[in-house]
Amino acid sequence: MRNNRGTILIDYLLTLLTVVMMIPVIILSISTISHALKQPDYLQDIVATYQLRRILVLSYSPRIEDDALYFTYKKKEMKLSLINENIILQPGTQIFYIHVDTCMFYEENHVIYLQYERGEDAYTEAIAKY
Amino acid sequence: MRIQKQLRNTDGFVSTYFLSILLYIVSVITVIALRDKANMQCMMNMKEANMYLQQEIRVISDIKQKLLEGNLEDNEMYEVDEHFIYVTITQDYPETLVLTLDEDDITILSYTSARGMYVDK
Repeated sequence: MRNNRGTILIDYLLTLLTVVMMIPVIILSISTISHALKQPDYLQDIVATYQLRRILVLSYSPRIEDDALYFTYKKKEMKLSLINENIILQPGTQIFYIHVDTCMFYEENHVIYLQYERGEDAYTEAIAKY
Repeated sequence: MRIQKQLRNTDGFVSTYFLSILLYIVSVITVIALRDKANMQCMMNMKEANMYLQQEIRVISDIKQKLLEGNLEDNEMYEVDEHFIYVTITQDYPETLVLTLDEDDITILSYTSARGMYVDK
């Protein structure tokens, strides 16, 4: 009879090798998931800022009143403000930023900034230049 | 007896548990990788779009100012035609803008852009 004591099957070695090769990939994936879970609205915010800037470049007579931004766009008076945790452009219900707790607008050196908070994070975006 | 022995023989077979877990993990990682790729592509596109937009903001702000002052004239960059202004940008990010004006030719109502190219008129 063959004595198998003290030997390792090649199958176990291959399994071990496969598992070890997958560990970095798994760790990377988990870290990506956790990062994405922390900032689920990140991409939406980038797109929203772009769309908002594109509208505001064609707008006239901006003014900030009561945490809302008023401006004239295509000869219509528009209002950008926070309603039900969404930053919305009215008239209509064009939603730009979602899951927002607080928001405020301010002007500095002819640039209008939007500052908003989501959870514990605060964001500031330059949205228009006049 | 011989058939039963053959059925019990598992030499050369991967454990079903191991295989199922392996397939599951590979599937999950594939989905995550594809989603990340799409997100990354989106961010790259937005970065390029923002570069164009920065350029457009500068040009449109300049045109708005000139329209309000009433001194917008044709030059190598602008071409005014009825209620439209054609802007040809040949700098870092070449593109052609077509701005639509109101009936008084003072306010810009909208604009379209042909990015990555400029059109010979």
